[in-house]
Amino acid sequence: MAFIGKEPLTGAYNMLDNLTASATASYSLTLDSTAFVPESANHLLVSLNGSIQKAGSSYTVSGSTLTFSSALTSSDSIDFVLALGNVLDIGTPSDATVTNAKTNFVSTSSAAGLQIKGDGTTDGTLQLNCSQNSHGIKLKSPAHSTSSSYTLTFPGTDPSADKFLKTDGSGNLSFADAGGKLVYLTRQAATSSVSALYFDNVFTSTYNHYVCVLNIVRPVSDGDSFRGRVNYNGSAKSSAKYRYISDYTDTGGTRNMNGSDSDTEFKFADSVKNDAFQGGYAGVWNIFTDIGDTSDRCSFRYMGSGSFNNGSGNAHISITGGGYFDNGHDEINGMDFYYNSGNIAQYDITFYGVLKS
Amino acid sequence: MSLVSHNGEIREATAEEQVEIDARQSKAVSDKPTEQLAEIRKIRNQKLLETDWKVTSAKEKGTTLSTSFKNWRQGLRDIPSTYTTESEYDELLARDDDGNLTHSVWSES
Repeated sequence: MAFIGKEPLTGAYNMLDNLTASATASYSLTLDSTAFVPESANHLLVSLNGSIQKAGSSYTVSGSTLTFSSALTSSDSIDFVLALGNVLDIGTPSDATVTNAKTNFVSTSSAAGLQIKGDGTTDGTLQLNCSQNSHGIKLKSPAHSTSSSYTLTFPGTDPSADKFLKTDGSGNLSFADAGGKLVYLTRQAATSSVSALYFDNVFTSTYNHYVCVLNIVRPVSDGDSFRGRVNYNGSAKSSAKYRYISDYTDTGGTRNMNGSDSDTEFKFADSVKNDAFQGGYAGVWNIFTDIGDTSDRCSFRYMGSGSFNNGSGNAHISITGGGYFDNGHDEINGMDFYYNSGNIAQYDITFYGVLKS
Repeated sequence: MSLVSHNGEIREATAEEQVEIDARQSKAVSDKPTEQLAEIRKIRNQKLLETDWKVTSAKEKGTTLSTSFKNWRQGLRDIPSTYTTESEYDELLARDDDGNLTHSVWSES
């Protein structure tokens, strides 16, 4: 039969289990033998001895207990108790019918506003979709077996560039630098032949200390000399102010020391072999600059160690060297690398800045 | 025109850079004999240093040094005047696969 008037859209209308009158005023309400708790007395329609009773005066409700205003007798008849629905028992909404405005997930001190549940097998997962809903990334709970229950509280400050989230041990997150003190700056790596490598504007006032990793710098010609200069804004410094020492020993025990206090370039290693397996120079250098420091001190120093194979044979050479560009406080912010008489066949050089704190 | 890697970009050298590269490489060619001779002197001096103790010992004990030993040391001292060409320098600096110098002037016996 069609509904007369405006049809309720939601509800939970149930005829409760029969009640048998006896010499008492109170009766337990059940639905399918399970205790039933109505929202209020007004949500019940109670018929006693053929008459509808007035809620709140003829009967009251507390929890699942219906209490008449006076005790009944076994000759009375509780005809029926009809539950007229509960406010929140709204049934199952159709797909995609709960809009943003209809949601209001309020968190309390004891419960999260929204909970993504597991199904007994799969851990709770929250998915954030792309605009077309064809892709999505997920935030997933740790496995049940880990017994994990913790809270991550996001930082109250806006993030700045290159920061990571870290915890304070209590789940409070903050934006921080990565744990390491080395910050990648630049790298040049290739196996194509070039005459020189120019690193411009590598050194800045952000750092005083740099680490240069020379994974390989291999010459085209056996026995070539690995050299370099400093530059400023791409312009190489060519004055005879390069002071350095290269100290290396070959497998025969012969020690070689090269050095100068007035050269026009650094000589990092002599007689480097061109061999894909054991050729080229490899090393790690510490470099110190003082850009922005106006005191009278030299503005570029390096010290490092490395190894290379002598191009004249298979003499394995280890080398330690260091030097500085001694032209007062001449600004330096880059380096050039090259071999003396031929091209570079293969190179892989990376610069890192070392954080001051 | 030579290629250079400039901040990771491989490009042709500018005219100014090319002049510098050419100058460096031609200087390397012209400097090679001088640098080779310097290396030879360094090796020679090391060989003499390693055997000086024999001379000192003979002097102290009043014993005599063998003629071949003395000739070998003299030969080392005479290297700069005996060997004067770039090809001779190459031979003096030649090494075997184990990195040992192969020219007979370096061997005492």
